[in-house]
Amino acid sequence: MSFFTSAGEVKAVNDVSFHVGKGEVLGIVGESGSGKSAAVLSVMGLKGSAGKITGGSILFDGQDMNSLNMRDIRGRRISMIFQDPMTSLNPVLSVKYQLEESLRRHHWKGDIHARALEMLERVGIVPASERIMQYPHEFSGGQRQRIMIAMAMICEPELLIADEPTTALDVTVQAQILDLMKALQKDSGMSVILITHDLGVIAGMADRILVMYGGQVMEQGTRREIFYSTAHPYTQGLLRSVPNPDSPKERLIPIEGQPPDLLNPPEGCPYVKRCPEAMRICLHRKPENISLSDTHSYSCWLGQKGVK
Amino acid sequence: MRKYIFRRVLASLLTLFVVITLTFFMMRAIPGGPFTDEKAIPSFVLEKMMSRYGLNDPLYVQYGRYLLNVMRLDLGPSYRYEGMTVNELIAGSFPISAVVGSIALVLALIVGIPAGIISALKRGKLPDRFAMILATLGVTVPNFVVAAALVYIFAWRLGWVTVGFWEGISTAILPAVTLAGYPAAFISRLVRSSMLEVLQQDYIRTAYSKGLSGRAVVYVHALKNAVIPVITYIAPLTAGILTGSFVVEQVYGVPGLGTFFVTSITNRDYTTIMGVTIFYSALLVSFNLIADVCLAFIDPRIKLK
Amino acid sequence: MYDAELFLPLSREEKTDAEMMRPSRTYWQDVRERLMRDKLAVLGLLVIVLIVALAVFGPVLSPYEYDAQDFMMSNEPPSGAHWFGTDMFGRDIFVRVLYGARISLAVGFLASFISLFIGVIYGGISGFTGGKTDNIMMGIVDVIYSVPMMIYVILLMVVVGPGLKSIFITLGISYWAPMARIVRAEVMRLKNEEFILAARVLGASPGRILLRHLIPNAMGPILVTLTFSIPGAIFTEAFLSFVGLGVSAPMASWGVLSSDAVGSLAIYPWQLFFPAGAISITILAFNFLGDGLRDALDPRLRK
Repeated sequence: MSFFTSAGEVKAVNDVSFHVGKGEVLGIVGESGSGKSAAVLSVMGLKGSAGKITGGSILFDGQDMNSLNMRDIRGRRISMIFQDPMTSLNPVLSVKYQLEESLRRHHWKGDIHARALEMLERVGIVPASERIMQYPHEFSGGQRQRIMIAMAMICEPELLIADEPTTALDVTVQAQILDLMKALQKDSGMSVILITHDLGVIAGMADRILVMYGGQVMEQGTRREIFYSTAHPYTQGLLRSVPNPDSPKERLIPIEGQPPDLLNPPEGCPYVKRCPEAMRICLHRKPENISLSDTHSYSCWLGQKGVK
Repeated sequence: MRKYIFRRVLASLLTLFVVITLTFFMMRAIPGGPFTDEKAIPSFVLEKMMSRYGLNDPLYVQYGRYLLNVMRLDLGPSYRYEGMTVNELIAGSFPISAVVGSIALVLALIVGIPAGIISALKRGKLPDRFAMILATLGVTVPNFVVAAALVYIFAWRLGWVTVGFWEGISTAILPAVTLAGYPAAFISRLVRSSMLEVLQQDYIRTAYSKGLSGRAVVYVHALKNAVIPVITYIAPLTAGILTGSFVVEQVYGVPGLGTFFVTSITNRDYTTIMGVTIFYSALLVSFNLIADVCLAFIDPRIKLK
Repeated sequence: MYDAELFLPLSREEKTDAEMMRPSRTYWQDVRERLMRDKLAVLGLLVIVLIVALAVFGPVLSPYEYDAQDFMMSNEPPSGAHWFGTDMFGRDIFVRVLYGARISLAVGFLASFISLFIGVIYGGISGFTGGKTDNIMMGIVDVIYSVPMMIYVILLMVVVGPGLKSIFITLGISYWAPMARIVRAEVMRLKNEEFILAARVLGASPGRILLRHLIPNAMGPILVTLTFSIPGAIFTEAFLSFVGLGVSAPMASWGVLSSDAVGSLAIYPWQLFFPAGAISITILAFNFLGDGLRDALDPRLRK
């Protein structure tokens, strides 16, 4: 998949393949610009006018998404919450309208208003019957994200995609929103794709983790595998740059340098210029995928070093 | 909401007060009296006229009197048209301008808004290019040129219409089209850019993520946000139509307030100039007020400010 | 198959070679490049340059004088001798249009620079001082905004009397409000930036901060507003001339030329066509340039 900008073609995501099981929480982690949002927006068919899928397919519930009517899927079976709650709600429409709109669109059976009130209460906006009449500017950032969650879940979707849902919020509010999402996910048994650059958020929620860099998957595995048998130098770097509350005196090690420019994608491994283990081969050839277990795999030439 | 409207009304009255004061003192600043003319008026006649119009009183007395009269909606007598008041003069000519102006206003809105929306949705494609070329011409070609061109084509070459005298609605159409040109072009450009801006907003992505159709997203989510700047523009729009009328009415020979205003300038009919200026300003301020109130109904964020 | 060479660690230099960086450029280089890629904007710029050149040198090169009357040659249609024809006094319309360009452009530029000057100072002070002063100053601007400006320009022209100088002054002191608003908004946005705080800490005086730091950084929006206010002034002058409040004969701006030609439109349409075309083309050119400039300066388009 590529994005077209005024500066040329940006390769956002390359050969990324991943799957989410029923009731599973998949975390996608990576720095900003690593292609994680592009990957899920393509799932939703919401890449905007600049984005163009130049290959690949997406299967949902065993069916090719290109063959499905995406408009009936969006908001009904797959829904999405976005990074910035301050701008993601329409400022001139009431919360009531924006909540009930999805129900009407997807022909909700039952009392639409009652369902909207129920969802609003469920996400902790009370008194729901009063606040539902209000407009987005009358709510705080955390409350708006709660409304976004209510909106996303109002039609009981099978898959929720959360794109950096807590990044724009205060730390204390972040925890509340994550708790809310976790509780709702447990209750409903839906699948979740959680996109974030924050390993802390991922550690608390995800069953499986996908680590992305420069539009490519560097490593994927279960939460245990990623945190305890880290294989890729990039994942190791990420983990070293997160503070550990158990040993607060330990120095944090930043990853030096900048992410690659996707206008001129590197020939070899995208991480090469920042990788402490970089080798000559990494400059010119893309590493192959190496499986460590059924669930754990990574892409790095280190694994082939010394293998004849 | 009530408090907001009250504040807007107060601000409008303040603006009007400033306008009246400014107009009064500007007219008094003109070198020579209002009766200075090419032809010398005998001094005893001048004296009589000065005292009849109260021009010998101290300036602040005159100002106070004028202010009081305007508050009673009395714009005073005309200096040139014997025995006529400015009120009567406006009442006689404004209805004609109002007919032409209203047609122009409606025309500008029903052409400009859809053109802007279509342009934004078909950005870069043929309809957009075409509409924007027209709109650019609309804002760049002065309206007296448009007026002259239309007169030349429709009156002199084709002979479809007569120009130079007023025969009701049928003679209003060409002037109205001329007057509508600039505002229609401006509105379509405004709607286009505001629509493009709105379509990039996060809440539009949210709306799509709910599975709404493109039409629902555009007409419910985008349009309501995109018309806000258009409503703010309503007042300057009317102002444009008003001032445009000075020239357009002259070219077409429409006996409206615009023609009358220009004549009173050439005649140095000071009370009439003052009166018409204040009348126009009041009209504009009212339109501004109406626009502000409309805006408060459309944009819930306004009540907070 | 296996080549141990390939698995040697990279040296620091080799990594830097692999550095994939975009060449860094200054903001204004970026703006210029984007502007030059905009065909309409370049066209607008070229047309403006051409018109200015014609206005400056044209009348000198023409064999006719702008006020030379020749009643034997009145109301001639365009020909080899008189490219644009002649008017009722037998004056060459081509040279009169060129001469009119001087006046119209002078009005456009001078009036815009006067309003730029007032607007920048007013908006700068208002934005920089903030608080109550800002409230009052912007309140005044709000009032000015809700006044039908054209009527006041007419009123002012009645007060100061017709003539070229009156037009400069009247337009200059009437149309500064948009500039003031834009400068204020920019100053408000910039004044809490770190480089301004740094200048303050270093003890720079408020006047110096305003003139040396804030206004140069607000240059983009100021430039765009200026590009749009020049055709606005030309337009207004043409309008005033048309209503009979413009420059006086035998001087002639494009507005005066158009106004004179309307009366005989049915018989000699070319007399209107040429000055009207000149106004339209000039305003169009400035609009193209302004649109291009605005797009080129928009940092959101910088990717």
